[in-house]
Amino acid sequence: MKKLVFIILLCTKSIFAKAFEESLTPYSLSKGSTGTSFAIDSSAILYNPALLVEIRETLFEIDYSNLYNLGAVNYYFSSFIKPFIWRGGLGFCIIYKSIDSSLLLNEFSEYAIYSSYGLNINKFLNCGLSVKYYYANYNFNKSSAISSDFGILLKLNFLNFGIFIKDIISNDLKWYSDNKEEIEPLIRTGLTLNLFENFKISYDIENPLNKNFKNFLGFEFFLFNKTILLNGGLMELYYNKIALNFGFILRTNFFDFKIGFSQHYDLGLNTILGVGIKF
Amino acid sequence: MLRYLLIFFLFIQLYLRSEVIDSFENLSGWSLPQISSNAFASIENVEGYKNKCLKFSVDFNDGFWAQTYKEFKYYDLSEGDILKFYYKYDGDPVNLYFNLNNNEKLVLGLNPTSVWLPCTIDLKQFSNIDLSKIELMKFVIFGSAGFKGSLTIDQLQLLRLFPVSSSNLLIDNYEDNEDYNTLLSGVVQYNFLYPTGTNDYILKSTNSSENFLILRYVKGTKGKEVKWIIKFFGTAYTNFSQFDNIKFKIKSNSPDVKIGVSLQYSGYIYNLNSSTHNFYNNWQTIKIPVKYFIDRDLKSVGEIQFIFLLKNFIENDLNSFEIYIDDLELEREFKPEGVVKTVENFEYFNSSSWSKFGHNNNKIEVSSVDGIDGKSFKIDFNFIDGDFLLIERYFYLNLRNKILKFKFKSEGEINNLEVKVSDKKDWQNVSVTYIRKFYNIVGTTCDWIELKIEPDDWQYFSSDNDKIRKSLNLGQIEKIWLTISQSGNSQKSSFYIDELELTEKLESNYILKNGKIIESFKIENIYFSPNNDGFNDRVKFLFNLKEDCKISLYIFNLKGELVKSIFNYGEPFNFNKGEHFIEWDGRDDNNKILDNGIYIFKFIAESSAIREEVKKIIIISK
Repeated sequence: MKKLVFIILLCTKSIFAKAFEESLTPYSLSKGSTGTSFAIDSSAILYNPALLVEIRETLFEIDYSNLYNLGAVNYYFSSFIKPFIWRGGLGFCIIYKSIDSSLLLNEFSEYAIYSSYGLNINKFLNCGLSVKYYYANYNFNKSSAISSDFGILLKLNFLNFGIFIKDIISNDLKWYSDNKEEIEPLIRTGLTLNLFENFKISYDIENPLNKNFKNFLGFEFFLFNKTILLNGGLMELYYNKIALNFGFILRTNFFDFKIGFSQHYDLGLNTILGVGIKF
Repeated sequence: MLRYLLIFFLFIQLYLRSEVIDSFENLSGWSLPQISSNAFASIENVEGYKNKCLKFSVDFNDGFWAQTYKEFKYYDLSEGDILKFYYKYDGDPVNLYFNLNNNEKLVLGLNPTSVWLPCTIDLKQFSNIDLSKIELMKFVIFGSAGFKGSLTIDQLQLLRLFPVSSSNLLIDNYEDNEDYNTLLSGVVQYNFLYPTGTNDYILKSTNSSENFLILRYVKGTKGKEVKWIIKFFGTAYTNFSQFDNIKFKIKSNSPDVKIGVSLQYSGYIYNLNSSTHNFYNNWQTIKIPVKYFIDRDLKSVGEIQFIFLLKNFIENDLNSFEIYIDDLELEREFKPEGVVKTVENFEYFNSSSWSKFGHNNNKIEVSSVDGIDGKSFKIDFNFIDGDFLLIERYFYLNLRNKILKFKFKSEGEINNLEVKVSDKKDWQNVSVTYIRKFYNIVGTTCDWIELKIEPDDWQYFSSDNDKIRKSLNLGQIEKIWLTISQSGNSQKSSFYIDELELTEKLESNYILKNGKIIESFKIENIYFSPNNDGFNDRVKFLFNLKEDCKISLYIFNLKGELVKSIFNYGEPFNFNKGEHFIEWDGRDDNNKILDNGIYIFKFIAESSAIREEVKKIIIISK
């Protein structure tokens, strides 16, 4: 416990960009990147593996985004999650990014592979762990690293509370150029209010112990006998600027069709599409 | 008119560099506030924008101003520079003034803010003072009686904008009669073992209308070698480029004086050749390439020392003499298109820098002869009973995504030329993979041939075929061979080589053409590596404006977080119609070099009627 507190205290640095940092799905993006305390799909792998326990069906999902519609970075996400023994949930996902060929790059690839497990401790508590492998090749400058995420979910009546520590333990990225980069932990906390059966509000804080913490707000609303899930949210950016998020999921017995939008103040519209298959 | 022309040219080519003047991690040097009577004020070190910062609290009571200041030994600023800092303020509305060498200018009105805001001070408004010798900086708050407030300031930075076109940066023309003791010291070294300081060799500038520096040797002083060290402080000249030259005029009143020049932290001494530079009673302009001194490491050398070393004084009764120096400048040449490094132009023949080796009894001789633009390197060889011969040299090169090129010609029989590089110096002792390329060199007297080796041309080859190691680090090549192998019955031949250069494999990415106000926009290379190794350390945004515009340039990470505003966020910078470029060194707003990854830039041009923007990516791979 002391070690955990120590690590949490370490998570006070302001995190800027790093390879592999961005991870999104239509569902998480459309509800303002609030996924720490509630998820219905493979977003749980990215936002809090403790949430995997709550998903009681086998799901396969493929997502695609041309990030910020720049015609530059293609983002692919594929995942598989399955309820598992010992009141658990298992999840795998691969994130792959490529650069548009029109930009004439010599060589580029970047991917992250997640293997996650969520465990139900008791009626009120879940925990989850992800082990990840990162790999990047930027113009023959290559690097890889192993990292892990840890999450906790506290379930009360009308309330979920989640803590997620991304990259809680990891080794450094050692590039071929001898440059070494530390993968710093990132902490997120989240709260979801189950106000009504079909309506939830979520609120996440990134870097809650840092003076530069960030706020995320999202809601989700089930319509037409849960055939449609409508999402919306706000993401804090910088200088009091925000991103407005919106999206929906069309749910059928076997397929889910997903779309998420985020209107970034400076970068414009970010769109992500996805298809889920249920077994 | 001249002033406006200068400003115009300044903005044609911008070179943007920043450094932190004070990060306020402690309050070292910051003096307790000076305040008006009956006022109260204090400074303290508290948590700030980045770690610690300066908190300046005032309670004017019956007074109306308070100030805190720091004295600098010497800070070299210029009109083109911009000072930037981050601040927060809590309290009654007051005005913040900034003071340089007791010259005060209003910076901004302070209103309560709960977030850190950047603030910039354009030093053009301080044009009435000598910015090159800043010794005092003050933050001054003016308000009304009874007002209270707390100003926190962090990360005081200098953003230096200066032209990168051909220009000479004057270090000293010795026209004024300053006390040079702080800049110059003279010592006699006894066999380089025990330097002893003495005032006998301290120079003085003359008081004539045309002043210069005099290095005076007084007869009777014992010693084998004499040297004077000229030290330069400040920041303007500490980041050398390999295209820079040290330039100065020199003459002596003795025909026997031999002079060497060296730079601090450099083991090299550049000898001025008395036979080619007759500086006996004759002003000679000497131009010494910086790359001669800093072959391996072009990082900042900090304080510069020019050491004028007088060699080979053995006699104790050497006659007195003087050396005169004037117009010491750093000359910054135009960078040839695409050339990132002149590896070797063979202008300064040094047979020890290139090692030669003849297999078995093959004979090989090297010499310096007239070349393409100055001197070239000539290799005379004679195949007797060996198969090959080679010349080799240690370098420190980043070949990643670079083209290695040189020019050669030959006389005599047909032979094979092989170029190899390795990332290991001591390749003989390990099984090391190197890469090579074969060329047939035609054995006739011919014109210079340019030979380019593209990144994809290199082939992996190992001295031990069983252990081919394909993980050669192209970013850290340490050795180059040129091997000539016998083809047929060739015997006596000559081979000339000149202008060995590294050029960028440019991937000019035209992102916008024929916009309404942006005529064109491109970046030269999507990848850049801001690791301060002298190669590809900056990304260059080139743009051509159809009319005068306000320009903003922001850098974001893929999460959409703003990591760098090239100018202040929301405060565009004015650019004139025409071609411009802006370089970014990969540092974020906290002056930290960003990690490897994909970043998005957003370039906005705004005229009175139109707003146009360009968004694309760049990749840091250092």
